[in-house]
Amino acid sequence: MVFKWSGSTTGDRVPIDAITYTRLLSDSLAFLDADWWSAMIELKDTTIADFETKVLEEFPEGLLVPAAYDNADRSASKDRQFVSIFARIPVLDALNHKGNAFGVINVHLGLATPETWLNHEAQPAELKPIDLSSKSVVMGMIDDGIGVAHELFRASRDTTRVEFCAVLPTQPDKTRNDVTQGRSLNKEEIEKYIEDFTWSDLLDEDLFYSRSGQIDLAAGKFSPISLRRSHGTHIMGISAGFDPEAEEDARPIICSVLPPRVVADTSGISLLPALCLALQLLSKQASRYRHGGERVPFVLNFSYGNFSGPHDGTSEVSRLLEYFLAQDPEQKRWMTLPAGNGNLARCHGQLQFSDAGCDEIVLDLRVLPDDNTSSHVELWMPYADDTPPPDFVSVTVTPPFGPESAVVDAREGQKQTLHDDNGRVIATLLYTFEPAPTARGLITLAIEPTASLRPNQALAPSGRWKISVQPKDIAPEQKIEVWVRRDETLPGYRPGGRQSFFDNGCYERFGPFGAPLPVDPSGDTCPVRRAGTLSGFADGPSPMVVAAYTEKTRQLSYYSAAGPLTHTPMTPPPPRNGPDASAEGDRSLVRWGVLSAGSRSGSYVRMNGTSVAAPRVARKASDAIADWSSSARDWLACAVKENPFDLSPDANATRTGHGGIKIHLDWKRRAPK
Amino acid sequence: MTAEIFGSPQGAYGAYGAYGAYGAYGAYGPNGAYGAYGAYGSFGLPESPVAAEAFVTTRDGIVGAPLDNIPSARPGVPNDVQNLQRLSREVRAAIFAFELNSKVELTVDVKETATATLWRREEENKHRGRHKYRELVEMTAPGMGVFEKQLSFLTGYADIRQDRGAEILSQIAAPVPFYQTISFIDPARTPYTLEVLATALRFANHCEQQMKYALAVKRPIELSPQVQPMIATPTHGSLPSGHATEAFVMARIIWKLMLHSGTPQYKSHGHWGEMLMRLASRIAINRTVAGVHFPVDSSAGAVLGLTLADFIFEQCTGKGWTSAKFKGQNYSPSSDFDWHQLYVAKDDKQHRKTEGPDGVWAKAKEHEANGHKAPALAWLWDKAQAEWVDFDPCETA
Repeated sequence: MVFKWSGSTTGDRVPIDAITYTRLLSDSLAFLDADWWSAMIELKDTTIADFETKVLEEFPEGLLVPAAYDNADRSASKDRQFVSIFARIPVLDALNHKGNAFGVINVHLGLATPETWLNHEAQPAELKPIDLSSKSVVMGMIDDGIGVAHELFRASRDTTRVEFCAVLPTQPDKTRNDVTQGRSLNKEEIEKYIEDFTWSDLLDEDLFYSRSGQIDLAAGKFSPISLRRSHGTHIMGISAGFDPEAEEDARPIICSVLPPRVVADTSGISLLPALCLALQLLSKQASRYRHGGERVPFVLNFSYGNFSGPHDGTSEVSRLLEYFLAQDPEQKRWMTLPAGNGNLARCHGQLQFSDAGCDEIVLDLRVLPDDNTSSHVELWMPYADDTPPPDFVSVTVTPPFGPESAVVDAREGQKQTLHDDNGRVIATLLYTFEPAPTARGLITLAIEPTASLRPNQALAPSGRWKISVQPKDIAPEQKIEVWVRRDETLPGYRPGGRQSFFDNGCYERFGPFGAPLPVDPSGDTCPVRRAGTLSGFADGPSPMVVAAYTEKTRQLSYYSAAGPLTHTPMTPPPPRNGPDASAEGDRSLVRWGVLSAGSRSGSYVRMNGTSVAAPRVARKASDAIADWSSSARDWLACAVKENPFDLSPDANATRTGHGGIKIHLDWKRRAPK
Repeated sequence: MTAEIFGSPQGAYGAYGAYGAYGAYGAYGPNGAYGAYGAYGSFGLPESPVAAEAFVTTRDGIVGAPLDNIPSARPGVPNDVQNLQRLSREVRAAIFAFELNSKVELTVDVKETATATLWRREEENKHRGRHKYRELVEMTAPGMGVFEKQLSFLTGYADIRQDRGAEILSQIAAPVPFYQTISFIDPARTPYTLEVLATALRFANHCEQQMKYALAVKRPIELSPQVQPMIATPTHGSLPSGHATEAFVMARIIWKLMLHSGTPQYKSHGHWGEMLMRLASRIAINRTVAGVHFPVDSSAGAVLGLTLADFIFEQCTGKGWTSAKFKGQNYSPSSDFDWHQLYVAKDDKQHRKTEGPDGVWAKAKEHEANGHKAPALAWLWDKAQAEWVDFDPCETA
């Protein structure tokens, strides 16, 4: 196979989002027989209603705005707002261009959404206030596969503590017409299912989940709740689980189950629309809960992460989370996020041309064979608020057997495309500019899958892809930050992605005794770094970001990702330097993980990661939120001092923040009142 | 469970695995021969030429002159259950198998799909050849369309193989140890219960294999090359599922022993019964996960198994029985296996009617006892039942 690069510019139609742009052009997408796609857009100075009207004028039946946005939301005029939509491909193509007539300044393509999952008749539901007992705190959870029927979420054998559960990945209940995608279950409905499917005091949980929408094996659809261990169940057990005997009535739960196919695409980009919709649904619900007329505080845990993004506090996800946290000014909302598990993933490169005469830095990208999903590398330029921004660097890419591309400069419209013998696109190198508040140029390398079972799929070669970066208009103290997007497919999920990573020879993986090195060796000049691997979701100013430690060794768990965040000197500093604190993620190196709820009542399983550390803090935070007058992160800093877990002295602040926190998890004990 | 009783997948109850050593009665002893040649003697010296030579020379040495005044022995007691106590388990197994097997017949009617009817012999009088037969189980195979559509279930279930692998491999043979996790069964504690179960499983296999043969339903692997089962597909037909049949026979037999034991914790609430059925259901579903059965196979198997268990109970105790129909032509392809639609464990009763989106697909009818029971089976049942009766703390020995 002979490959050939061709240079072109994006022309007048400058794309907003590089990944959406390359995905819309990709062969893989053409194979998907989908009517609708989910997407998240950001509107500027435009109401949702105006946006909808304009799009529908040009594309009749091309757009569906979910019923989760009520009339007030639709008519509210805001500087900027994130909206989750369902749209057809031509609409998305039209939206993803700068200067479009619809007021859209950001687009993120989600995933193919079957027509049968959507209810076009859905109308915003009237949400009446719900009174709770004093000292109540609403616990929120967004995850895949949440075993809401587990006893840790029941108030008694027949009653549940789950007030609301949005199940996105299922066919809508068309008798209700209250949600556009999937179904929403309220407490009464959950309890009715429990009653109907209980025989001899034992709930038939397989039946419960298949009737309530989380399991649909007849559709050939995978649900993590069919497995013994499910991420959402385990994590919600830690943040909001109570033994029914504790009769806890002050920690009601509202949650949203994300579509597993989104989860299967761990490139993260497709997660955003579902997350955006889930946040909108939960935000509306959370505002209903009152005590004495006052809104009850709300603590949300979201144990997801990603490698990509600008990592400077301005990513779409962090802005979306900030938007959600501030959405109801009358309600105090806190949130916990995991620091991420990418410390040793070799997915972060840092390029600094401080030595005079350094005229090139090379990153070796190892693209694995049998990778069924696209691989993406992002090269983020330094912050630049001048127009046009400086042409910081030029980049060339050489696939495993050549040839080297022509340069792509940090200039709008720059693009190189790699074609195979048949002229099909197998890789794209493209410059885009992420406007303020990010204000950074972005060079994206998108590589097609290296394997596919589909006929005629354009395949990229696996092996070492060389990314060469030459300095141009860049100061010695300025850095180019590079991340490989996460696309590893978890066991049991489709579609079979394998994680690409940087394979530079200078990266020292192991210490003198053969153990993995959890921090970059001092004086290390290798561009591949552990530092700066913090989850791309966790760079915002308000959420509490939690790292994981191993209790027995008193060390941070190897995988627990590290700060600092990206900072360009002489520009606004990022809102954090890494996680806020660390909590238990593993009992020991041998007994990895911590125990929490399994997918079925009565079962308890181990799971590890920063995913299980974050909900521990959420649980503790729920005891404090009502009386704490300052921010969530201030509280956590204080809580670390009050409940310290001593980590070995070499634990770096960029990995553990204020330090380890000891949080005892006792499901039998009621929350303090 | 000892190897002697429950063996390997190739063992006596290997019908479960369909690898089928069952039919040959072959696997009872190490020599593979059933009956008289077997290694069942307690001397540990079976048919050894050395032992035979030793017996010959021993006799030569001590036999002495013929005696002429040996007292007369009583004749044997014909057709009497007292003899059972002195028979080896394997010999008894043949007696029990005969008692049950001779009570049923099977006829087949082929229209759009095949309908197999299992008939039960009524004890009208004692003369051979003058029996009346009544329907016990009637089973109609669904059309090919149902199986083709149910392939989507196999795709969905295949994704949880990672979780169920150990269970599936452990359940290829008779999964009695799984039942031992719920009911206190042990060769030392409940030897007759184990014999009842072995008898029930043999009979279930006798019936289900004939039913499968009659209906000749194809396996998933023949309908799609993408099922790729994680274990070998048995050569016999897909519907009814033998695992479902035997799993529900076993669950209901154990449950009946518990229920009729008078033991307080078993009698009320139905907790043990519910758990036994959940286990049976899990075993049946695991075969769909493995890729060798459609959900509808399990539904048919559960109908057959629950009904056969009641029939066996009737043969053992002379109490009432249940007849059932499985109407595959009305089974909706969208219906997953759900045993609760067929049976209430707490009451130990099958539902009279089970309806899905495409109509009524299962029926059951209870029948009054006719008073007859099979004597050998009754002997066995009573001994097994006694194993479940709890001791009264007020009546110490």
